[in-house]
Amino acid sequence: MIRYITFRLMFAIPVLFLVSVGTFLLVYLVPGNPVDHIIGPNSTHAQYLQIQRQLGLDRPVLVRYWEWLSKVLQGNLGINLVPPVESVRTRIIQALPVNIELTIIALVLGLVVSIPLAVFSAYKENSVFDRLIGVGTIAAISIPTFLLALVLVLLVAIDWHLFPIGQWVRPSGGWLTNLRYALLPSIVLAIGEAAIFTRLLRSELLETLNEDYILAARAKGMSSLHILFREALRPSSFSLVTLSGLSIGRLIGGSIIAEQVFSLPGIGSIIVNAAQQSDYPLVQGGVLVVAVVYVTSSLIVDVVHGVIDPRVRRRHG
Amino acid sequence: MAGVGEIHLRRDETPVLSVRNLVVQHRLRRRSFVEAVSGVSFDVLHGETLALVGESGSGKSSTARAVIQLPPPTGGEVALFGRELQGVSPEELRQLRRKLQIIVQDPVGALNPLKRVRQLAAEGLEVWSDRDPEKVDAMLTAVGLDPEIYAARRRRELSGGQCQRLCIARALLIGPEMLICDEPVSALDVSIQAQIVELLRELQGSMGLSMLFISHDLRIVKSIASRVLVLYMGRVCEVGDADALYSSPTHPYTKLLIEAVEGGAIEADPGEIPSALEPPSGCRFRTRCPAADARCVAEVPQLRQVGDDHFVACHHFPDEAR
Amino acid sequence: MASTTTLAENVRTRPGLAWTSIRTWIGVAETALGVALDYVAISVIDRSESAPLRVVFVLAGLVLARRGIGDLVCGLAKREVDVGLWLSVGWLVALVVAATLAGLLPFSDYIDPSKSLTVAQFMTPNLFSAHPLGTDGLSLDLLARCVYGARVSILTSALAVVLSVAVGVPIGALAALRGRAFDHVVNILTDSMLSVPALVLLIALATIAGRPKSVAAAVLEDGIGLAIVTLPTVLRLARSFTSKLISEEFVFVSRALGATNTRIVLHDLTPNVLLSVSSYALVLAAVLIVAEGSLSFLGLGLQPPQPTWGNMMAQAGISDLSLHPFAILVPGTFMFLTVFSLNRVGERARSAFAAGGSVVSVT
Repeated sequence: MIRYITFRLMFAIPVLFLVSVGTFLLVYLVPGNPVDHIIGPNSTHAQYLQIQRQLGLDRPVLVRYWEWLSKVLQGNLGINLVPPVESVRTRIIQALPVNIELTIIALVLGLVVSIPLAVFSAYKENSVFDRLIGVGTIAAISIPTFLLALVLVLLVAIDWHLFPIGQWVRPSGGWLTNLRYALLPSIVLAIGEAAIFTRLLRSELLETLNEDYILAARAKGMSSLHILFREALRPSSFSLVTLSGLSIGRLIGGSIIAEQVFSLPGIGSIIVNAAQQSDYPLVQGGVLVVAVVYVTSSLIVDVVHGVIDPRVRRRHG
Repeated sequence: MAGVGEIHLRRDETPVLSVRNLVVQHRLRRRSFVEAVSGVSFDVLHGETLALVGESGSGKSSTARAVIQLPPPTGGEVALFGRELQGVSPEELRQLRRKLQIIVQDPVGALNPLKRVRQLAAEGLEVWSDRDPEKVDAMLTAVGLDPEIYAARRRRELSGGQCQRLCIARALLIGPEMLICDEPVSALDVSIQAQIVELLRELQGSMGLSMLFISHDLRIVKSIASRVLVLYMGRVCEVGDADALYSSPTHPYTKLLIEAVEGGAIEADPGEIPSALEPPSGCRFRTRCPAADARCVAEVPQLRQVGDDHFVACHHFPDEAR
Repeated sequence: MASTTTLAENVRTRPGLAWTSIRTWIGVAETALGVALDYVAISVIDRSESAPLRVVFVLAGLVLARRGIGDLVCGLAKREVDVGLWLSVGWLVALVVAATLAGLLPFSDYIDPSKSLTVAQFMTPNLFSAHPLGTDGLSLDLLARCVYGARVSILTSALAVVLSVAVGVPIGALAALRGRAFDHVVNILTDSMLSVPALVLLIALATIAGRPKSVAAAVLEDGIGLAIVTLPTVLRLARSFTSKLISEEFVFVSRALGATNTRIVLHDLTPNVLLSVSSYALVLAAVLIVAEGSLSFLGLGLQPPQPTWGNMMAQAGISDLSLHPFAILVPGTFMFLTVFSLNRVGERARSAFAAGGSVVSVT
């Protein structure tokens, strides 16, 4: 067990190291002089030197990386360039609750929708319902998020006035209001996740249903639905844990489009706006946080998976 | 020595292929392995066909692949025309392999799916920088694939039998003297099997080939082999002249195989091959042998002569006959 | 509408003597009804009527017409035909042809608003007018803009696929062949790249590259960016196909025939790995078109007035959504149909040409 966790940790460390190098190089790789990119043509030399010092461009790369990394490890992500100038860390900490809330709601919605859909789809394999689910999930995966978001806005928000849109209300401004603003973007995110969950869970259930012990249970006269929910869903719960974990990683960084369409102040918006304004330290900080969340969540998923499912451990032991 | 003996090897002439005390181990995980072949020896003389017979898991294919050194055996010696293949440089080995070709069980998988029949047949020749289209077409005709019809086809446009004909043509084009046929017909329809075996026999005669023919099917072996070696779990049970072996099978396992072919009632419970990870001590066949006793558990039987060219590794024979 | 559908359903499940001809006629009826529904929804219903209602009508009409064409073709061919697949192929071919010949087609102006001053803004689609799919907020022709936008999408994703295959296949194959240390390094590299969501990585790269103003610059910059994002997937595909291939019997036989490693790589591995990886090209292109669209939707791709599907939708924006849904729905539909068709045809190509079926899922 400990051996497996160590193995998995050993693998995460070089990945995190490379991610840090990559995000660091982001600023370094900007063609030409990044300082010129940031300050306008009619700025003073003093401003130039100040930005240069702020970015630390006057020292060797390795030294700069080391200094940057040691600051980052202490939780210091520097300050951004474009006014209002703030600490990058503060900006990200302000944004994260938005993503966490969206992720949780989307994940719950995705699971709540996909489990019954997958179960009935597998239960009535090749039925009209099953085929509809097949086509529907492909369509849901094929449709670009921004198109889906816009169509939903058009239908649900603008025409039917079901949800208010266009801003974000913090839970401190009333949790019900907060939820009303958070629900539609979460649904946008949940649709894609639900489609992926349904497809994978359905094929896994079909596989389980063909195993001997299920056939035996059927032969004993247990009702099919009972078998599905009690016997067949249990082995699939392992993969549901994995899927949910992976989807957390995916949603944290994958909500960019939804945040943009619904004007939500999440980490995706920070990255996009910073990218549009060439605010490198902010892009850097955002990308780093997203990547660390992703690596960590897949690490946790793997470890949890290893704890509950001994087969995984043995494969790597 | 834990081997099964070399008494059956013929010392009066230099064999085309000589295999001594061959051991093949497959690694499974760190520090654990299965032994597929445990000390098998045999020789093949010029123009002779030796058949290796046994159920799946008896080590036939491992033997075949070890002989052409793909991969090289774990232990033992393989010599071609008296020339050892161990410790030879990769380039020399490559040169030597030209005289030693193999036909594999899956004729379709043995063909590159993107190449056409004529290219496929010429693959071996190309390796040896010999581009003679006439030779290729002549060989294709010889194996029964009219180049006019088949030259431009790919493997998915051929039947299994046609694929095997093509593989035979490809192997023979580079002029080997020793041909290893590893279950060459077991993947084919029964109706095709006889045709391919007949083709191999004809070509062997006309080209003066020596052959190592591997099969689990005694009926097929009967029609092509002059000498038969019966393998069980990587050890030799019985070896000898084909006729002698069929007319008076001595080892209980050989008897079992022949009975199975003839469709008669099998007296002993055929049972299953024990796990290769933990082979039985002593005689490996003892777990399925009706005559097994304490000696079979304790001692590995050695090959002894029971006839003119007929050897058997069993504690009960020929002792019992004496 | 409901009755014809149930009838067709019944006929489908009860194959008889006359059923093919009945089915043909049902197909004709369904198609006609679908097209009529769409026409009514788009051009007849008053513009002040609720937009979602029209969307629902248009969708219902499309679904019905699609069914009708299916029944029509199957009825005429007297056997089951995968009409969806051929419609997808047809859409892709038409799109590529139109995008290639865009300069020669009789389009109204697509880029210079000063030339379209006499044309109305936000015209609704009318298939029998000079602006079949309507106009945008600058009175520019939506059909023309969508076709020119297709150029950017197609060229960018094609370049990205070619680049990532050219770089990824040799490295992935080498990882499978060399094994151990090199394999581990490649594995960690791909994992690191995959640990950043594709769009975030793309935005970061776009930050470095700046915002392209011309089609050529956009294709080059976004193409390289997308290639980098796809690289880990291609690497993994190439790696798994190669390790599958080296255990194939024909590689074993080549070795037995005396082939050198170089020959085996050139003759046996390279062509087969390339074919298998290429069979994923269309599926990859589908993902890439969405990525390119997202990037330009976020304002980080090709800049207006040059059209891309993404920036057309961003320009129309939420504010216009309720009043002028077509400015968003037209490019959106182009994109959706293209991505859906690529997935559909790509799945088929993958199951036909990839060695050993699908080995890696592309999400």
